[in-house]
Amino acid sequence: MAKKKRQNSLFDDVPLFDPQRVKLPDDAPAPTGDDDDDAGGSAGKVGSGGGSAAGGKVRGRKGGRRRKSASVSLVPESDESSSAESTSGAEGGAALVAANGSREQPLTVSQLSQGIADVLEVCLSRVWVVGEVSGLKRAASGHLYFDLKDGESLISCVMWRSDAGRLRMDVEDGLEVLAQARVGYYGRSGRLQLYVSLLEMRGAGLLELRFRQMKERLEAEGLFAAERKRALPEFPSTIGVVTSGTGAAVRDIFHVLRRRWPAVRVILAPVRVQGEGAREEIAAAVRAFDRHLSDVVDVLIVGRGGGSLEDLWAFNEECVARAIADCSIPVVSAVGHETDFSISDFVADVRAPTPSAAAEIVVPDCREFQRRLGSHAGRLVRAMTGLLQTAGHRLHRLAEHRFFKYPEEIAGQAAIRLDDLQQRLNHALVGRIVRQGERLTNIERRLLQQRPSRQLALRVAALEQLAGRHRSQADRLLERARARVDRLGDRLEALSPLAVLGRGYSITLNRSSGRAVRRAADVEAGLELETLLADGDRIRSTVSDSEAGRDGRPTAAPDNAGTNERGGMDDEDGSRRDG
Amino acid sequence: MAKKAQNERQSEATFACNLRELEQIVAALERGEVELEKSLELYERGAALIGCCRKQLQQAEMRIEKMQIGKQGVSLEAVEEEGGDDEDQS
Repeated sequence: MAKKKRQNSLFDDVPLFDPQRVKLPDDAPAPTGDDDDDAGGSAGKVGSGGGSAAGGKVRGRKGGRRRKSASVSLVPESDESSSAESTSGAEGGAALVAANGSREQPLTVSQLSQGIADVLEVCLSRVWVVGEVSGLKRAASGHLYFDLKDGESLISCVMWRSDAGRLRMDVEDGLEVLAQARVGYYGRSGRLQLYVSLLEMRGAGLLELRFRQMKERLEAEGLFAAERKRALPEFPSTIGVVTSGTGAAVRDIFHVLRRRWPAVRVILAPVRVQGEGAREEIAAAVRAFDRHLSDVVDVLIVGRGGGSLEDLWAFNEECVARAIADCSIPVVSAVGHETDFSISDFVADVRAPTPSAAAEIVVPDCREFQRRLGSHAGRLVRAMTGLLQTAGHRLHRLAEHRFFKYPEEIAGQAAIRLDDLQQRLNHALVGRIVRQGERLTNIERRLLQQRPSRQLALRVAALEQLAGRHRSQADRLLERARARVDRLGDRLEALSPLAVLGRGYSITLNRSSGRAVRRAADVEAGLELETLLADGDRIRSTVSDSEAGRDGRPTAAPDNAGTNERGGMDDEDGSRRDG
Repeated sequence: MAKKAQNERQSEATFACNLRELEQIVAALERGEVELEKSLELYERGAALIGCCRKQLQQAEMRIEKMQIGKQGVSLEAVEEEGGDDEDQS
């Protein structure tokens, strides 16, 4: 309402459009500007407006204002004094068109343009129009150019720099706005446009813009930064709640807390969450928690149940956002709108979609912890059982050991082992002695083999062997020689003069010289002779006479002797031949 | 008031501590690295902790207080039961 009042105060000093004048031009004297307050609303309401008491005053002001605007817009028609005159002026324009726009008295283009301009000036010099901004251009000069449109129509608009500078928000395409404007006709180009003097965001568009702009501002300040977010305590003992004391939200929160984690203390700060004073109360409650209970309260839930954008608006207010941002207690925002975010959501440490969800986020579920405790208990028992079993098994294994089961066997085994060792020791020693003895014997044998006598014997034996071989060879040679001698002997025998003797021959030898007597000359009387006969018979004789033969030789003797010699000579040749 | 709250917070902290200690004991026993005598000791401690935690969970009764903001500070006033008034805000 305050806003509307502000608007009205603005309305007061500007001329207003009275649609009845347009619709019912011949209703000349009737309407006055008495329904200023609702001029921006519906046109129908304007007409129904009541009292004319203030009419004169308003009209008077309007007249004064219009003079100014007329001079600005260069509308040639001059309405010096009163609205009555201006009304008649408008009618004059209409009349002009009606009177002169005939076949007989056609208007010039300029005249027509002027007429249009006049009519517009009179009838639409001050209108409120609702539409969506589009095609916005911001000229270097500071003027704004844009179109206002709705589903079907579109009108070009201009907003001069002086007016644009008074805007409290940035105009953007797509914004739904309420514009106060004069309709102007620009004859030179045949264009009609609105000269916008005031522009206000309307409804959702307005809130949306304010939301977005505040969000951007606070975000730029870093209030939404992730590093500002604090972790919530795992097991809060005391929970602060800032919400309506009577809404569904607080009931939901209590319900969830009691169900999930009853071991908790809740401090509720009941506040108005919508309408007048809501934002101040919310911010004050948050600050009170921070200032007085920050060492008690572990976590704070700030929120309310769902509602329209306007209902939730308190949580988009800057004072609430700053109180949350300044709060040293971790804050969970719970502005009951599943999809849309509030500024509180961005500033808070954790955003919950609903109050119930906030309660769920803030406390753990005790049933889950009961389950966990149950699980821990089970694990504890199992682990302990396992440990005991393991220990039992170890004990059993130890008890089962032979040492405990058959101790005498262990002793017996020790004895056996001792014996065994003894035996092995003995074996080792004896074996060693034997081996040493064998070695000694071996050495002795080798030494004996090297003895000189044995060497000598060996040599002797070798020598004897050699000698034997020599001997046998000599014997063989000897035998051969002997055989040969025998053979030669036989042959010699055959040739022997003795053998000749056997056949009757005899040999007479000089007994003194032993020489055979061959010739008579060889003997002289008295000489003793020996005649050899066969079989070795010998006859000794003495020479009595010797007679030489024809050759001077003794006849008898030389014959014999000569034969012998020849035979002897032959034998010699024969033996020689044999050898 | 604050002192009482402090005590409560400590008891809550004890719940968290107890739970943590319990988890450590269970883990240690499961690893089986402790001596038998020590493990029996731990087992007893763990069983006691479980009982303690259970009691803390079961005994708890949610308490609600209302905060009034005064000039000097805030005052708290216990509330028996949430109003049950169904005036709707949402």
